[in-house]
This record gives sequence, structure tokens and C-alpha cells, in this order.
Amino acid sequence: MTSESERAREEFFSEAQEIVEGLGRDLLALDEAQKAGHVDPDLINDVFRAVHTLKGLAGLFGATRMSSLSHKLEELLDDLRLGKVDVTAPVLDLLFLSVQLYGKLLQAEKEGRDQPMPELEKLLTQLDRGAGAGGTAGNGGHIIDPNLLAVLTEFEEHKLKTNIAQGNTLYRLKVRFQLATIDQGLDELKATAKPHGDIITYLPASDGDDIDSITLEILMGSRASAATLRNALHHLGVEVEELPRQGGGPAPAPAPAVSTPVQAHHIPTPTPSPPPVAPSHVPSAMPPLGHMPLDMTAPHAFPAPRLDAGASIPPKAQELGTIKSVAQTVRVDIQKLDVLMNIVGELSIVRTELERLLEKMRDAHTNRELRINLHRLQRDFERNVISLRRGILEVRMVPLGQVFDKLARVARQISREAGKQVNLVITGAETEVDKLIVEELSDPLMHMMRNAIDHGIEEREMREAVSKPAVGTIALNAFQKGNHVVIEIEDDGKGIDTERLLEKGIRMGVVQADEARTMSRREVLNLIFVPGLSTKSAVSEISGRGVGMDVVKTNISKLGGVIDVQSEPGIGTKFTVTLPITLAIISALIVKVSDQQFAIPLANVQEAVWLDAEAVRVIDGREAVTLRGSTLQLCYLARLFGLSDTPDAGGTGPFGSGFDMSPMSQAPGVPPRGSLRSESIRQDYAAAAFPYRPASSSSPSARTALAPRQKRRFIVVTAVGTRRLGLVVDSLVGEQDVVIKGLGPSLKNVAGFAGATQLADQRIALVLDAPALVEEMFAHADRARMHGGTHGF
Amino acid sequence: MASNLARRTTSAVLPAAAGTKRKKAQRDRGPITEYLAFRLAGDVYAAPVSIIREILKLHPLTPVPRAPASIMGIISVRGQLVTVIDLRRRLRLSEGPVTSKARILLVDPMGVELLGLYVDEVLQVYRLADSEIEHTATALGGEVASYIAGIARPAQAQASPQEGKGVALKSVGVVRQNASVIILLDLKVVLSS
Repeated sequence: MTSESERAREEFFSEAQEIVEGLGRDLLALDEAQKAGHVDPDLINDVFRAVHTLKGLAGLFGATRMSSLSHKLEELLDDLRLGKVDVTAPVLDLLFLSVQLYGKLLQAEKEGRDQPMPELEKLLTQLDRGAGAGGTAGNGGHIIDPNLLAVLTEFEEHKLKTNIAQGNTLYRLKVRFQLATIDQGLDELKATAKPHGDIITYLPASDGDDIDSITLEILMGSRASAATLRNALHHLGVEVEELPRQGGGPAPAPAPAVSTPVQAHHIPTPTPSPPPVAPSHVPSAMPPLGHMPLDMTAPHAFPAPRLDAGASIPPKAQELGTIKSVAQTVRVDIQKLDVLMNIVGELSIVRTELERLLEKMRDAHTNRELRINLHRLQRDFERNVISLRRGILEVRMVPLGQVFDKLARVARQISREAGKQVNLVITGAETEVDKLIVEELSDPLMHMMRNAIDHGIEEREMREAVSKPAVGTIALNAFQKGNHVVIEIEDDGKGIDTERLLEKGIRMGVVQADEARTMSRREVLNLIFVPGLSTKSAVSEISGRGVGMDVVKTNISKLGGVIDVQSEPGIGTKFTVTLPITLAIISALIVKVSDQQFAIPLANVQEAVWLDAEAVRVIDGREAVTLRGSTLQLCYLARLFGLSDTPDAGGTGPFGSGFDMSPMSQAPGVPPRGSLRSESIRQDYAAAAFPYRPASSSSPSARTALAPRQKRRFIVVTAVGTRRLGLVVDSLVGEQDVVIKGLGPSLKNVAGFAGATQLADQRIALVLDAPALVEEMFAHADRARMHGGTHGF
Repeated sequence: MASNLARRTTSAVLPAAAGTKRKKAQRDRGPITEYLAFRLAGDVYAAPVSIIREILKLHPLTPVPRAPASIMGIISVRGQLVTVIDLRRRLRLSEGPVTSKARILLVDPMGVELLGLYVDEVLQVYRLADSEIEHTATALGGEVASYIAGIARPAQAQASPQEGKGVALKSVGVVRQNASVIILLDLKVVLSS
């Protein structure tokens, strides 16, 4: 379906994305280097190149805003590599901001949005100023008459910059020409000077006192030493003067090769410089001096006297060496992987079918040899399907480092804003997780990072007062644990004030006063995930750990993960997020409700017990049982979904047994049974007040009070965070690994389902969205608060 | 397996495949569009063949609780989930029992989602010239009017051009039929409502 241009656009986005991410990494390194006080010019050059590539890409795809941002950045970076502007914290801020904006611009571009972006305009102006302010910082250490600079044309200025960038020495030549023969004289001078360097500009000198002659001042950049030049130009009567440099100026060079002549210019080097002794990486075909054509690329190929012969190759030479990509990787659209996964799903069904056929053959009197052969074939097939599935899953995996890099940027920014010094320690960045999970995880992690810095880490004075190191530490750890990945965000801050948290909980009615006395510390800590406690106003009142933590929790639950918190006053707080490695395949419990099958993700299932109808009590209009000493609210799926309460009611018609005939045979105009019924039931549930109180009377637990009955039903205990809900189903079919497929846009407004999956018997089972169901059941009491203050994201 | 009806029938319109007589007729009647006619609640409706990807026999269908009434459920077409819409209900027509003639048309009119449309029976492909279509459906008034792209009264004598490709259509149960009035549906409007 995708046309050629669409594919090219996709390529553009993934490539641009990759560059922007790389840029972010480079900036972090630059930031480190700046703090350490030693900036590697190569690093600046990398950043420059990334921006330059982005500019090219953006231009190619008509992304004008990206182009103009890149253009401005390029100017700033050019100044940085020329040493006109120093690498300082404010400059880095601008660069970091740019990376952030690139992300936004890409997003906007992808969605075809074209709204004005005020922050972009602001940044562009800042960049203008940033670049302009540095203009006087120096010209690579050369002292150039400002009057001279003022009269240079843009092209000449460019030539000057190029010469400086290449580390050439600047010379001022002075020569007197007879007015009558000035053309000839100039030509001769140009011809003679050309092999040695680049004439940047000539200007009439003010001290021409002769009416028949004129003195020209010539600005020239050259690799050659002053002596060489003097020798070469002597016969034309040219005075050669080297432009003085400021001592100890910043290395202006993009590459180490360039910085060498700067150091070398005090020591007149022998002429012409022979190719350096060892550097095998320098292009070998060196024309002798004097025949060297001086074009744009020449100075790079030119073996300057190198004091550091082992340093890296000039970028140009490297590029010319090979155009092969270094990375042995292929970028893949995740949708393509979904297609492959789909095929694997189909193959799994074929596999099951094969198994069934083989089973049949065993009973019938078929050729034994044939049967054995077929059996072997089936086993091979099975093995291959399994490894194919594993292979595709592996392709979807990306290292967490992708999101950790972004987090490091966020941490840097937040700590600057908050005026706190924070040291971020990352381990396990190489741990791999499903790409989709990484994407969904970035916002919750960012939130936790922000909380850790804003509210966890104390002010410097406070830390010093309790003799903690002034610089706070946040550890970001990731590791694999079986089929799960664990991510920890740990700070050495002040910890969560549980007393105030509890106080707040009681005040908000989330916790009953008598209940509070028996709550464990852990239970109290878990209150920060309760929506009511994470409103903005609560932040300043309690420890402040609350901002949007309920949203964080919900989002992590959606990924089938869990979040846990530990905190010690004065020592710190640790959030632990445990996630499944992949979303594409989940383990699910298949259940039956009035002859329709549903899948419940095992990540949300705590246990399944028999339902004892006698033990069901109605509390505040809600049905509940007591399970292991605590009350469990029940949700009858058959009623919620408007399915017939008696199993096996589904008819068999031309649609097959899976098709429920009843809505079809209804008279026109009669509202469909399903939606109306479920609507009224939802109201029934909603009418009941929440929170419920733990029952003081203890009834026998559902598991123990089982009387053998004809039609037993089951409670599947679903847990999402601290909330539990008992889903009442007719029967349990079993556990199965299922491939989840999303429902189409036409069903996006249907709540309660996370998708659907094809079971081995070809039937489709809807996958229950357990968090959504739990939320729906508990929503009534919370709704007001939920909408009050948790728009954290 | 259902055939890729759309592609095959489109190729029939190419001049190369048409006889000289038909070419002449085409010139007389103006540009010709192919429509697939199907029965819904006793009436004959049609939609452009170009948007119909496939005609499927009824699959085992999984109803989706809490979905809008006009959504019958979901089916799996070679591993892809497809939502099936009951066109009768969407158009607020009367409903009859499901028979073995019922089919699901796979369409993607908006280019965002592949949908299945339940119809009572697939009839035939009509080649209709613009001149045969009455576009003034507004005369009907009411809500229905917005769904209707036009009304066609194909000439009774029109020879079905589908003889050559009969195999494909027969395999999915196409019945040739001369209807007096065909209601041409604007599926984009129907499905976005």
C-alpha cells in the first residue's frame, strides 16, 4: 500500500530520529567534557556534522522549520569549532534545547501539523544572539585588524574562515605595483603565490605616497612557513609578514591535524614538509609541493608537519576511504514485524491443526510408516515455528539505553531548573526490551526522574546539614529477571514522609482512621499511587512525591507491569518497575463466559477460585465475597457484557457455533440486547457507593466453602496495583501464550478490551483490558478526583 | 477462498478486453463504472467494485460485547482482525434471518481500516454509465438521502459483461438478476456515520 514517496518519508523520519538521538548522546559527552574542562574538538565536529546532515535531510524533504533550525545551529557550531565561541553551559543549554525541539519538529512533521511553535522562534533568536556575541572571541587566535575584517566580502570571510579552520597560518604580504603594469604584476603574484596557499583578499594600503604606484596589502593563508614564502615571492619584491597570534588561544581546529600548525608556527619548520614518518593513514599519493593544486580538498590531503602523527584521520580523508556504512544493522518498521508475527500466529494454528490430524490418524488404521514420517515432519515444523517466533521477538528488542539517554538529558535539565546538583549513575543500559514498551515507558520514567530530583533530592544546605554529600545521586538501574525486565530509579534524598501521607489519606477519605492504625509502612507508601493523593495541591503538603504517580502506575499497568516503592526517611526512595520483556506475546488465562471465550492477561491475574454463590454478600449495593480475610468486589462478566447468564445459550447457525444469533433475529427497531443491558448493569454498579468497608463479619473463604454443585462458576482475581476485582466467569479453559492484535478504529470506543487473539481452534477471543475494567468498577467514587489533578502527562 | 474480485473486474473495462461493439456502446453512454449489486432487506443496493477487495463467505464471527449495535463482531481474515458491520442495521433496514447466501464484503473506503460489510446476498456486477444514474437522490429526503450516491435503472436488456469472469463470481455465489432499481450507496458516508 505504501507508495515510493511514503517509504522515502518513513526513511527520512527514522534516519532523522537516529541522528537526533546520536546528537543527544554527543551533547551529553560534550557536557561532561566541558565540566571536566577539556573539550575534544572532534566531539564538536561530530555535533556539527550531525546538524549538517539533518539540514541536508530536512531540505530534501521540505521540512522548512527543521532546515532553518539546523542552519542557525550550524552557524553556532561553526563558531564553536573555530573557537569564536567557547563551549559554555549556556551554549550547551541552547544545544540541548535544540535537540529537544528537533524531536518536537519531527513529531509535528510526521503528523503533518504546521502550527507555529513559539519555542522554536525563541530559540532561533537566542541562537542569533549566541552566535553574534561570540564574534569577538577571536579568529582562531589570530589577531586580525577589525578594520580589515569589516571590509571583507562574505566570500573572502569564508575563505578566511576556511583557512583558519584548516589551521593555515595567516600572512600579510605587502607589495608595491606600478599602476601601469598592475594587472600583469598581480597575475604574476597570483601565479607565484598560488602553489603556496590561498590569497584571501587584497586591499590598497593607506601609505601609498607615490602617484605612479600603489601598495597593496594581501591577506594570505598558507601552510608554508614564512621563510618559504619569502623565498618564493622574493623576486617580486613582496614583503612577507606573519600575522601574530594570541598565545594559548583555544584550539580552533575541527581536527587535531589542524591544531598542529598553530603550535608549529613559532618554530620555523623545514620546507617543504616531507610526509610524516609513520602515518600510514595519510593518503599516500602526495604530489610534490609546488604542483599541489589548492582546491577545497587539498589542504586536507596535505601532510602538514604533524607533531602528533598518530592522531585521528581528517574527516574528509576518512569519508573518501569508504562510503560503506559502519553499522551492520537494518532499520525495520515495527508494523512489518507485526505482519511477520501475524504469519507466525497463523503457522501456530497450522501446527495445532497438524497435531489434531495426527491424533486422528492414530485412531484410524493408517499406514504406520506414513504416520511416523508425518509425525517427524510435524515436530520439525513445530520447532521451526517456535524459533521463528523467538527470532521475530528478538528483532523487536531494543536496549533501554535509548530511553536512558533521553532521561539523562531530562535529568540534566531538571536539575539545572531546580538548582540542584545531581549525579546520575546508569547501569544496565544494554538491557533489551520490546520497542513498544520502551516507547510507552519513556513518559512514566521521565515523571519519576522529575519527582526524584524535584522532591527526593534535598536542597544543598539540607544535605550538608545532615552530612550527606552535597551532590545528590540518582541511580537508574536496569536488569533482566527471567521473562521480566526490572528498572529501578533510586535517589539518596529525604525519603517519603509516611506520616503526612497517611494523614492526607485519612483526610481525603481514602483510608479509614481505624484502618490506619493497622496499616503497614508498605501499605502507607503505596498510597502515593492513589489518584486522590496526587493532586497538585498535595505536592507541597506531603513529601511531594505524588505528582501523577497514579498515572505512572496506570501506564505501567497497561504494559502489564507493576511498580513498587520503598523509602527510608533520610536515606532515600527507590521505585522498582517490573515489566514483561515483550508485549507481542503474552501469557493469558482463557476463560469462558456463556460460551464465548475471553483471554485475561496473566500479569493481571492473582488467582482463580471457585465461586460459592452462598458466600456472596451485597455491600452498599455491590456484590462481594470475603477472600483470605479481605473483601473482594465481584464483577459478573456475563452481566457486564450483556451475555446470556446461562452457558451454552449461543445458537449454531450459518455463522458457525461462535456466532450469537439472537441480535440478528430481533425485530427491527428493537434496540440490540447487548449494549442496552450492559448499560443498565453498569449503572447498577455505579450506583453503589465506594469506598467499601472491610466486612467485620468473616464469612468462610470462597475456596474453603465449596459445596459440590452442578454448575460451578469461578472468580478470577484480577489485581491492578493495590486494587483487586473478582471477575466471575463460567469456566476456565487454561493458560495459553497468545499474540495480541489490536481492535480496529471502529471499535476504539468500546471499553474493556485490550485487543483480540486467535486461539488454536481458529476462534477469536477478546483480550480483557483488566486495568480498564478495574478502573471502571472503581471509577465512580474516584472520578471526580481523577479528573481533578492527575493530568501529569 | 474468495477471489480478488476488484482487480479482475477492473481489468475488464480496459479497451483491449472489450469488443468493438461494446466500445461503441461505451462512447454512446459515457464513462462506465462497475458496481457490485447486493441485496439488503429485500432491496437491491450497489457499491463501486473498485472499493471492494473481497467477497467472503460467512466466517465464524466473534461478537464484541458493548460494541455499537450495527457491529456484528470481528472475524479473522488470514490473521488480520476485521470488524464486520451489519449494513442493514447501519442503514436502519429491517432484518431477516441469516441464510447461506449471506456474504461479507471486505472494503476499505477510507483507507484507514479494512471493514467487513454484511449483505444478505451478492447479486452481480453492473456496468453503469453516468447517464443511467440519477444523482438527484435528494428527492428522497430524510436521513437516507445522505447515504445514497444515486439511483440506477439499468436497461433490462443489458447483457451481463461478466460472462468471461463468471467463474470468479459464481464461486462466491453471484446470482444474475435484472433489477429495476438499484440504490447506489456512498459507503464513505455510510461507514463514517
